[in-house]
Amino acid sequence: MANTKKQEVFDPIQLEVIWNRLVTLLEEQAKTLIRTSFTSILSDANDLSAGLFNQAGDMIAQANTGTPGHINSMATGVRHFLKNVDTTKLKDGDVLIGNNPYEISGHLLDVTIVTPVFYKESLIGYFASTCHVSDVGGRGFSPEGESIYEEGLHLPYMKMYERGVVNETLLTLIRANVRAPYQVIGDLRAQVVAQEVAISRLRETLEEFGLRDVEAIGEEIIAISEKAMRKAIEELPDGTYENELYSDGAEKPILLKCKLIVKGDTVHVDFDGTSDGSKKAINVCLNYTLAYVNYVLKATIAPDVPSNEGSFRPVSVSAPEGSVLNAVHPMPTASRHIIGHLAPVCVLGALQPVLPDKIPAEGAAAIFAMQVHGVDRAGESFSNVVFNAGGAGARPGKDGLNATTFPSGVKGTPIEIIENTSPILVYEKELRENSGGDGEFRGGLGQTITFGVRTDQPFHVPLMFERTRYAPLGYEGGLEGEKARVFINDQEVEETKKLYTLNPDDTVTLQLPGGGGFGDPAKRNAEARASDVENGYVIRS
Amino acid sequence: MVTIRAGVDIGGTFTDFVFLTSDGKRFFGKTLTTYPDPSEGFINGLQENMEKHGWRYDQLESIIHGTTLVVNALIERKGAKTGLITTKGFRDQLEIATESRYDLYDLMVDNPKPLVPRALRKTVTERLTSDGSVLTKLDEQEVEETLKQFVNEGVEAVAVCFLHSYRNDLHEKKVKEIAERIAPQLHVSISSEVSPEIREYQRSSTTVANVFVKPLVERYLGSLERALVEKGFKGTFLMMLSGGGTCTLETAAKFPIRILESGPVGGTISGAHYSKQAKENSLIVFDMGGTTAKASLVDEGVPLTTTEFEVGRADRFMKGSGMPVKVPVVEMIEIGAGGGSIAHVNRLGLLKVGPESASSKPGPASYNLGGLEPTVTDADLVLGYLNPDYFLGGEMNLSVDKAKEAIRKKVAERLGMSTIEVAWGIHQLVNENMASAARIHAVEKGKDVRKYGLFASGGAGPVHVGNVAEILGVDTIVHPVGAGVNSAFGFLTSPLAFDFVRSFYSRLDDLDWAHVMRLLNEMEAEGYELLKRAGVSEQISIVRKAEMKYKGQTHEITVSIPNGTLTEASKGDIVNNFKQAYRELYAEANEDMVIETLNWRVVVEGPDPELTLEQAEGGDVFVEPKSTRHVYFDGWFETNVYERNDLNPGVDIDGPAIIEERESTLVVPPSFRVSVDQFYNVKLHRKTAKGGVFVGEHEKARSV
Repeated sequence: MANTKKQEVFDPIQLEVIWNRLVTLLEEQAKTLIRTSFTSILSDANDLSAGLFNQAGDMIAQANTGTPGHINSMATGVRHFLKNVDTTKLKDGDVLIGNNPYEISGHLLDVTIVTPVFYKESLIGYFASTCHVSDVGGRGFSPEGESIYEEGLHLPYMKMYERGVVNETLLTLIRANVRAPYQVIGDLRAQVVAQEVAISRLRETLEEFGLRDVEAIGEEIIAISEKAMRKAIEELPDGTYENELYSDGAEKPILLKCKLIVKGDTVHVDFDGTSDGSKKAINVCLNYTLAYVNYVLKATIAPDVPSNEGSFRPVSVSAPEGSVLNAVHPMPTASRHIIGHLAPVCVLGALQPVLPDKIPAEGAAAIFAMQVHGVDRAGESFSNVVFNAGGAGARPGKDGLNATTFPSGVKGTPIEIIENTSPILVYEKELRENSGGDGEFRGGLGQTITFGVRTDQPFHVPLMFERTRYAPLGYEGGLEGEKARVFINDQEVEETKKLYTLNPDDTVTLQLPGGGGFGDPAKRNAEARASDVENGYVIRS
Repeated sequence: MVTIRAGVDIGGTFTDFVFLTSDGKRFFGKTLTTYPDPSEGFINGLQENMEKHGWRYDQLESIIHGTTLVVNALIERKGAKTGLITTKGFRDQLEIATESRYDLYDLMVDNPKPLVPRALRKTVTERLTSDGSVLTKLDEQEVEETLKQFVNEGVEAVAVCFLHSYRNDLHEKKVKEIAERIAPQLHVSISSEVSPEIREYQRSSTTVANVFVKPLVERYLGSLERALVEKGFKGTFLMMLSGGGTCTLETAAKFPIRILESGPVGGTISGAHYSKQAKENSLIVFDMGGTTAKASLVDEGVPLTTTEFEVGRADRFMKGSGMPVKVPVVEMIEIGAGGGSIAHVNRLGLLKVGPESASSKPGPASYNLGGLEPTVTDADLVLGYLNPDYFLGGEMNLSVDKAKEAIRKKVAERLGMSTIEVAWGIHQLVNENMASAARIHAVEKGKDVRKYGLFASGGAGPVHVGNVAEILGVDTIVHPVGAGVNSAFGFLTSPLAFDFVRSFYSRLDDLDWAHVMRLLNEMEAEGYELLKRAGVSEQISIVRKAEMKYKGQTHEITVSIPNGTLTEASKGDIVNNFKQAYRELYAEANEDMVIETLNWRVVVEGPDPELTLEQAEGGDVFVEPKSTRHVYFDGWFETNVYERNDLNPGVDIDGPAIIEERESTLVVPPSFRVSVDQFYNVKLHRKTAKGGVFVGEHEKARSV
């Protein structure tokens, strides 16, 4: 490893200038990735992340584009690559790949690519990105895998390129094991190219400022961010704050229990008491749990502190090994987002009494991933996933957002794109009236979505839906939002974490939950109520 | 008889006039924009200028007009009461939008509020599929009832956007026909005419925005035209399009969304004209005002355009925070960085500039109107760039003491740095922010900014352009003559042009070429017809483009398409064009992947207007500075100050230097020299260009 002794000193203005440059080049990386990807998962939904790491694998900066489940899990996941690969033997042109679901972002579908950066013949750091690929074989994006061995292709930390030459054996293996090899290989290549763009830009930046690496600047950035994050935590009163909530679970309800321990300038979140892991693939690895806990904490108490190693250091998370929030090998994890998106809501709930003017009521939380695969009328196989959002929780002083993702940051996909790139036919996609919890501030509305497939053969829909038994809670007297409901051919289904095989004419209807309300409904002003009724957000019976 | 062409640009504060006479002379005028009716200022200002120069209205050959009317009406939401008709089952596409928050870390963020409230969004039974075939027939009875309800509810304007109508306009056209029959008083816009492009949210948003401002624009243009005719104007009256080019009033009234950015776009067009005239192929047009900075790219004399635009972004100009509009627009990135941007120390102990801005009252601390926050203007004053006694030509005195005090108290003391170091830091940081934005913008277009020159306009642009050039590694800077009325001049250089688009989603391998030719011929015939009606029948050029992508991708790239009849045999060329464009953008193309086509575009354009500008003979190389002062460029320099009017072609000035005129101050860093071309444009050249020997015009002049 090169000399990491800090030699360069920066004044606050230089620091800001160089820091801006680093963020700019990461944005370039993310933009290139979005525009060259082969699936709407990246291009429209932006289910990705991009970051720069120092020699030790600490994240210095990240692109603003992306979603917390990737940004934050990549931030703390890249160091596993460095533990498993002999970094002293890395050469310019090498590219690393891996999708370990227990150490990075929680399921095999997210592939992380790490490119070592060489400058003047020294290894000075890494660019990385984590992207959701369209398929990894096995049970794919579904709750049905009983262990990782059923869930698809596991790529151990390894080289994808060696000195600029692609590992054809690896690509052949991938092609042979996934349902959509064309898209998967295209997206992996897009990741590699985007990182090359970022590397050449970084070299120019180092040249311009006369830096020999990113160690000193990285150290400053991390230190200053850490200090600010600690200061924000210090402003919280010391204490232990607790909360618990239930997820529908799969075979039985799952209890999420958290104890938030604020002590000086640190926060520890202990999920002791949380249910054991599920037999179905809804288990969450601790790194993904941490990713979302860190995200909601930062968004609540320090939104202006940049996300990097420094903003992570003061926050720690623990959960019993083998519990639903700390999945270990070989527990199945493909649909980990369901509970992964609920855990941070549990943490926000614990903080609510301390920060009543900052914390929104509970919302739909988990995104509704509409995954469909099968064979179209031309006999071609397809696999398509789009993300849909329920209502967000009402906020202190504001209604909740209708049909908007939180805590996830992914986007929806236009119906016209869905129908042009797959045989899916959408019959309805509208706001779900009356679904927002009442309150001084109303919860956001969910949506009603009905779809089928233009096919002559049976098709497969793995349901991965949450909030059918436990509604999003209101805060400060606000009422709860409507629960989710799922129908197949107008028949309500009970099991909403299950793979269904449907007939060509069948339709699926999803009613996405509404957000919880905030504050006493009696205090909602008359104008807001009249507008709700006039616009049909609320239907008076 | 001397004939005159006039460009009129109505901005938020000023209405600018540029007159170009057939003997090559240029005249400039400026008057305050009038509210609530800006046409008043237009007519009165024009009258004043006509009188001043002793011209008659029948000498006016043409008037080209650009205005911020449309964009303001949208931002202020002052348009017609508008209803929206969509496909049954999809009432809320306008509100569901992208289902995401534009700022991940702001839990209080609000998404742009739709122009049509839910109560006025109605659905009718109909459905097309993605190949354009009819799945469910349009229920015409329902359409009639819906329109009647709208009339009863006092709706003036109706937008229609059905799923997949970019493929087949049958149902939308039918609705329009029914409306014309049963409710002719309604203004109706259908998405297949306004913006026939895939992605229902963006298409509805565009169609709604179009019809929302339609009644307003119709009234405005109608009254202007009448007033001009009354004055005796007999020439052609054209509107500036947001995508460059001009159009007739008829087109502007039908598609007012096309004139959305018709004012600011003139600046870029003017840059494009300069680029052609001076044979400088690539320019970044850079405009910086009080609260925002804008940058746009000109390549080979052609401004880069886009169809992805957002109106009314939230205060931080974040992507996704505005209402999307998909029409051809000269691509301008805008960031919250201007003379009024406030410098502060953030929670991390770092210096930040903007996006908060001191408005004109109390304004920057140096205005001495009670403002206490240090701004970019204050830093520029402390650095010696601005002359405290010659701001706005001396109309306003600036206080150096107040500026220093604000910088010291609010920033320097907190950072433990000197006032001058911080002033330099503010200047550099705001320039860094602008340079970053320009660089990302260029990257998205696959361009390398270092190969560009900078073309500076706007009040604060010339003060900052030198340092921006240094950050970007740019070697040439142009400060055009009449920079204060740059947009209006740009109008006069634009040809009459119409652009069209049709969507046709297909694999390139099994493309129905006959259908493609039908689409292209249809668009081109329509273009010829519109040009003919506007009096142009010769020297018409056609530019074809298509948006294409690899199968599976959802972001497309624009590819040049050859003219003439296309057949299966044309495929090879088109594939090559695609791969070349792809490589330019993303470094490498994929050899083995399937290519698909989305949209086919045609621009039908009349000839460039003939522009004869008076040229000056060479003058003195040496010119006396009017004064000297201390100016800071990472160190103090005793710097010569020149009056711009004293500079004639042939002049050669060594930087650092300050060049002052009424509207702006050009700051020349020590690394640049100054020359003036035969049209009186001031040009800066980097003294030692990177990677080669630089031979500037001044050096050529000297060697003679």
